[in-house]
Amino acid sequence: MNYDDETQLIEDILDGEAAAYAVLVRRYQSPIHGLMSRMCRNPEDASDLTQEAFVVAYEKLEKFKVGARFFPWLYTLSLNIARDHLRKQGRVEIPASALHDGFMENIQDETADDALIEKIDSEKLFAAMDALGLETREVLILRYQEGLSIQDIADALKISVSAVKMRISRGLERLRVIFVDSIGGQEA
Amino acid sequence: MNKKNEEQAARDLQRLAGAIAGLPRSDLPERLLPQIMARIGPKEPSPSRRCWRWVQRWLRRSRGVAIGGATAFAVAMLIWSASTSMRHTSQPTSPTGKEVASESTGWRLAGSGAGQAKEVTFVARFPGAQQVAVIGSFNDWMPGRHVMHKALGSDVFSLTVNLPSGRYVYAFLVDGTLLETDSSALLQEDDGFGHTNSVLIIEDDNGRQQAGERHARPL
Repeated sequence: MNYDDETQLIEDILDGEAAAYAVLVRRYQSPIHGLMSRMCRNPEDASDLTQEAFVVAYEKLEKFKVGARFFPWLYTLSLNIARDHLRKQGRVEIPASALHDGFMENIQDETADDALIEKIDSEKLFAAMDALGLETREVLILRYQEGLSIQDIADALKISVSAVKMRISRGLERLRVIFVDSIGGQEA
Repeated sequence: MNKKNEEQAARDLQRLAGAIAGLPRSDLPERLLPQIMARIGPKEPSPSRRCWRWVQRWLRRSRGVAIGGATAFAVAMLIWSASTSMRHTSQPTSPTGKEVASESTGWRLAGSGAGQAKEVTFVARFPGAQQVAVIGSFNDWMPGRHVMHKALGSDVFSLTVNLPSGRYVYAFLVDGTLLETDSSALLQEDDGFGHTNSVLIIEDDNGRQQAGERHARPL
């Protein structure tokens, strides 16, 4: 992610240039909408919550420490909005859980070669990541899909740098176990 | 786990990371950006912030004057205290009838409070550009009349002008050579010479206009 111009953009917004906020919206609407989609699994709610997150972020921009990274701050705020929404609906966040029965049905039973993981479809991968629990899933998404630094992920999720590293390591290993070892491709 | 298996496991982890990176993203709603921009209004900077920003700009212009941050702060505070001690307010009234264009590049309208004239803010991002001007039917296509301000340390250019209600065609002139349309504009029209111009319509009804289509200019 490019942060080079964000301090100036935020200064401009605070000076009254509302239109400059569109640059930040355009830059981060995709990851925030992705977060909301993962959280509520409903396209309409995801759209509404994304809008809400950006509007609330704009309203609270005076509280943002100019010079800091904008996205981790926006992400934290968005995550809280999504959690509030789930709470109001009486729904719970995704806890770490066992995969549902039949998850492995369509994964080919073959030895673990380099091509195996490439055959995993995205739905299976999403489901497996959900099974890791919300925070581990989000750490992996932020690291590998959004390309955030370890420090930025720690800031966004309000956890320590070492906790981020541990979740990345354990999360990937658990996915490997799910998709490779479970098929029996690895020798003990 | 033997060495071969360890190497295989490491490769698996790398491939999993790649698979996560390649996961499909959710489809963005078509009108998310304009809907967000329609819900926000310009912020009113506090007097102290205005003073501080004025001092910062003054310092940037005063290249021959060496002045430290503490001195700048003191100057800002002096100006602020002087401004707040005045009984009359020098703050501009909050704009009414604000309209944000459908995209970040483009323009924003606000009622200027002066007859039918409307305040229009053009905002555009041109990475690597040194100078951008708005040229159009409102300035006889003269590049020197409406040169946009480049935000320090960024590639965002902006310019606010007052325009009477009416229909205008315009384009961005980048570095004096490259003519760029504003793809955030509601309308584009062929100029008859092989170029496309953007169209800006300022209406009488407090500057309200329809939000436009999304455009593909990267920001």
